[in-house]
Amino acid sequence: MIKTENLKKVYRTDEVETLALNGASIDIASGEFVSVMGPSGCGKSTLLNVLGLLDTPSDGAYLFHGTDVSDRSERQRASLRKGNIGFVFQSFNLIDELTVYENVELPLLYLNTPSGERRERVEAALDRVQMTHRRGHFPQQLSGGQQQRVAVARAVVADPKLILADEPTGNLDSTNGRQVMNLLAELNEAGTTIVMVTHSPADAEYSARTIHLFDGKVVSENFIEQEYAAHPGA
Amino acid sequence: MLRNYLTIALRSLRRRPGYAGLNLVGLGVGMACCLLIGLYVQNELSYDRFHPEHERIVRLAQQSDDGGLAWIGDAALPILQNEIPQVETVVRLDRRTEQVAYEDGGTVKRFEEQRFFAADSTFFEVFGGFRLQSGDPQTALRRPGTVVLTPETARRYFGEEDPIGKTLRLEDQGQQEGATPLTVTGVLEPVPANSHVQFDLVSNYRTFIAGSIGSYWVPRAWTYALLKPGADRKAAQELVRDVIAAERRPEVAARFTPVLQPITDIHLHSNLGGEPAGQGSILQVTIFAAIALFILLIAAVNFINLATARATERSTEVGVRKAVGAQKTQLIRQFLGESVLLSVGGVLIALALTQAALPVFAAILDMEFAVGIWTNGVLWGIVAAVVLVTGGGAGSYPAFVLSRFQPATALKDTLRGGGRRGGWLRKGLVVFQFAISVALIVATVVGYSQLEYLRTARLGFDKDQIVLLSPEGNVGTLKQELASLPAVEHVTLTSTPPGLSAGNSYRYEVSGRRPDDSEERLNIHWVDFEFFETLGVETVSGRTPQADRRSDIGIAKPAGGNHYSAYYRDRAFVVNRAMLDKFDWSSQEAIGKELRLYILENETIYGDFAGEVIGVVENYHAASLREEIPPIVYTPTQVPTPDGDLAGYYATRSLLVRVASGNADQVMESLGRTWREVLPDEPFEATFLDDRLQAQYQNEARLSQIVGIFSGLAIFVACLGLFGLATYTARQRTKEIGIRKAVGASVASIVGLLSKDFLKLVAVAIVVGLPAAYFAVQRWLTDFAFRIDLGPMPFVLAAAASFAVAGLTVSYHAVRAARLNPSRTLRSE
Repeated sequence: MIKTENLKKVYRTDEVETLALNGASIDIASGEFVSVMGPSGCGKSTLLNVLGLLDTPSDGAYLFHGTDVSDRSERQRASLRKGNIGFVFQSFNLIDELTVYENVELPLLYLNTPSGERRERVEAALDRVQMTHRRGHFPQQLSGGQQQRVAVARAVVADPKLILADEPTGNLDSTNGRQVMNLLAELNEAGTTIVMVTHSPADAEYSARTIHLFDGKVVSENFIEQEYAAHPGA
Repeated sequence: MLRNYLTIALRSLRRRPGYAGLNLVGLGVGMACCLLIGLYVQNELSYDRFHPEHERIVRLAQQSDDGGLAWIGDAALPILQNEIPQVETVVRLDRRTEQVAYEDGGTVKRFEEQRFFAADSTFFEVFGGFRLQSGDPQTALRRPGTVVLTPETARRYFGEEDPIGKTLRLEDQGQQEGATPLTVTGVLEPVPANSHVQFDLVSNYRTFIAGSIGSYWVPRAWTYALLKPGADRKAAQELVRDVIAAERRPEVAARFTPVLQPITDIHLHSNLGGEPAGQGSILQVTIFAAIALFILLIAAVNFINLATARATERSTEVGVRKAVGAQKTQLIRQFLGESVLLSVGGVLIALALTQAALPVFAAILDMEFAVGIWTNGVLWGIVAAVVLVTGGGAGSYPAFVLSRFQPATALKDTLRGGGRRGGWLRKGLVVFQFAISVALIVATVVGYSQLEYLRTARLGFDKDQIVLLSPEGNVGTLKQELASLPAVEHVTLTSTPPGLSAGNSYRYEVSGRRPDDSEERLNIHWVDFEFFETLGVETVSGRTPQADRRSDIGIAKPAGGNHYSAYYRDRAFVVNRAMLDKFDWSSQEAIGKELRLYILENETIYGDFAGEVIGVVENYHAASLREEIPPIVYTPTQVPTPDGDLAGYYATRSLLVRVASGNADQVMESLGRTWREVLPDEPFEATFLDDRLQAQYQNEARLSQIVGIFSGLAIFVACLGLFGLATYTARQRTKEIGIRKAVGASVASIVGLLSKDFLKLVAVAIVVGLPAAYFAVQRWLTDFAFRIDLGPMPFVLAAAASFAVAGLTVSYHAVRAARLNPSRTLRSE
């Protein structure tokens, strides 16, 4: 589903040039749950942004469903994103002026989904994250955990094949964090590909594979299953 | 999707009532100012366009270097009618003051009609915009002795009765036996407020003057022509010039050039002698229009600035929308729609404010508006343009700049921290706003100072406690009777009340010699014996005429039925100091100089006065302070008959009564009683000279009042904007403030830090605004011969006021931000 080759991303300001990605190559198949880990500033979020078509690479290839999308225009990338990719952010990024229901509805509006179907899908997504009872609330009226569950609902409402999560539990306490991780695991079990950036080894355990980044490069990949195989009982 | 945008727009406004309030109030007030002034400008520009043939109506006036004349004598009439092929119809208008009475079963209603027009029977042919409610325009004014009335005038005389066919009485200076009957032949529709001529009654011209005199000077009338369709006005004017020039003496023809003024130009562009009352001023219209535009710009700039500042807070929303699939065009539409919606809100407020303020505004301007708000196409055009420009302008930064960012960048929130995007534009706009405000403050201060100067300047005579009367009848008896009243200190007569007009100008000779320029004239005033004493004007040398020196009024010859054909010799003359300057005389040299003053018209000499200078008096402001003090020759108002008797008073129109200070109402009451005893049929009218003097500056008073009000509003709106910007800056720099406080900054230093940037902008604005203001007010002041010295005060005041107001505005937020607990400000990171 996702394949990158020698991906580079350079940020330039007037005086400084920062190499956020320095030849990152990864390969993620449909239905996988992959964690991306690494120290602060190693390029995790940049990688996620490029994968999510929120940003363009400076160099290298990015194949999405086998098609190179690295040099697509903003317009084309927007079309690709909508309906195909869902996002969950560390800081939730709900729109303050919209209610829970309306926030979740937003992707469907951009997809021009008919209103009847829209209502059903929003209700279903809210039900899935157990936020139906809060549908009329505004984000500021919710706890962090609740906000993140709404963000998850928004990410899944259009039924995307890929969900990208950037430290989804970073702003949550452990109970709420666990709830969100369980939600992601459920989605993955239902067939959604998930790529998640995290600092938390506990969260990473929910995924089947962890990619380690360092200075913008992939330094190791370990499959939980293989580690189990190598260190049974660990 | 549209619903979603609307929801977001409305909720976002509700969530930030401060922001919405600033924006709506700022735009609303700014636009209301603009609409009010716009209505005024539109009204001024609309004058006389209600005549269906306004493009074909012209007035024959006479231009000259010293101002020219709005009227012309009746010799022009046959020329227009017979010799100018472009002319279709001609009409003369003569504005008169007449006493009109209506007797109904023993009761008499009598009014002094000051807006009584005499017009040729072609009145309704030329002025198609004046319509009759009842009566036939073809015949209404056909015969002498016919009159048409405005509805209000008709009601005054006849109440609710039908006036058609009823007879009014035109009373000749209080003598009932001379009364002329006037048959009412029509009732007019109300005269539109935007007509340059305003009248209550119109009678046939021949009611007053039957034949033709054939002079270009008398009888005075505004003379209008309706040109044929498609006729060339310029060509007609050339022809009129040639024909009239051929009939006049060359030096007169050279001095007075006939012009055919389009009727639509008269109200604003014509400033000739003898214009109808209520002339407009294109300068005032231009000044007002400029102010309107400035205020609108200030308000629009606010709107745009606040929207841009606020937009930086919305980058997350942009990021999220893009992440879930929004296209750039969708975001552009959303942001533009939102700001247009907000500006529509501002417009609604503006319309409500305009509607509410219009009567007040009209009262200050002392005018009636012929244009309205709700059915005014031009106004709605302006409104639509403003909505699009402000809405579009305010929306375009978020629409076109924010929407362009990579969603990843937008989400990173760097925009908020940076916040410097659009910074230069914003700063430039703030400078622009304050430069305008500073200039307006200067204009206000200078305007008020000049007005105060005009009001309080020493005029060279004692203007207080003088009552001005203008009797038509028995002046001599009235004077005697008034003088015997205990409250009256002095009574004197004059042809020319002081301070109001420079008087008549006559040709002259000094010691039998004409001036090199034979067209040059001197002003002559006919004054009573106690004139200078009454006014407290000092004698410089010699003496002033005395009642007991019979020789001061000289002799008249030859015998003649009226003053105009007599001439007067051995008269006593008094001159003012300006005469000494003009002829380079010392005050002693002037005494004994021989003078002759006269009118020369059609080879005939009228009003011929000769004699010796017996005294010199100090200058006083004979006319308004707009004009220099002219050289003036004074001569006694009493003239003899050729057989040596006193013939009465020459050219005397005004009685000046100096009254004891005390109860003005009681004094007026006793003056009125005496007046009614002497002149029972003449309505008593009296004004204090001082009031009349002040009234001369009504236009200036109005102008400075309006400029004052609108400058205040401009500054208010500019400060709203500054307040809004300060709010956002304080918010953007929250983290910086927290860090600074954490490392030990004091509240004062933070306030300084936050205020400094804004005050720098205001300083730049002052540097830009003051020179512009200087040139503008300097130019305005040149209209006055006597004016204030333009010292540094208004400029210092304007600079200080801008600093103070801006400082207060900004420091509110600076203090608030500086006093926040650093742990709170840092926590949000």
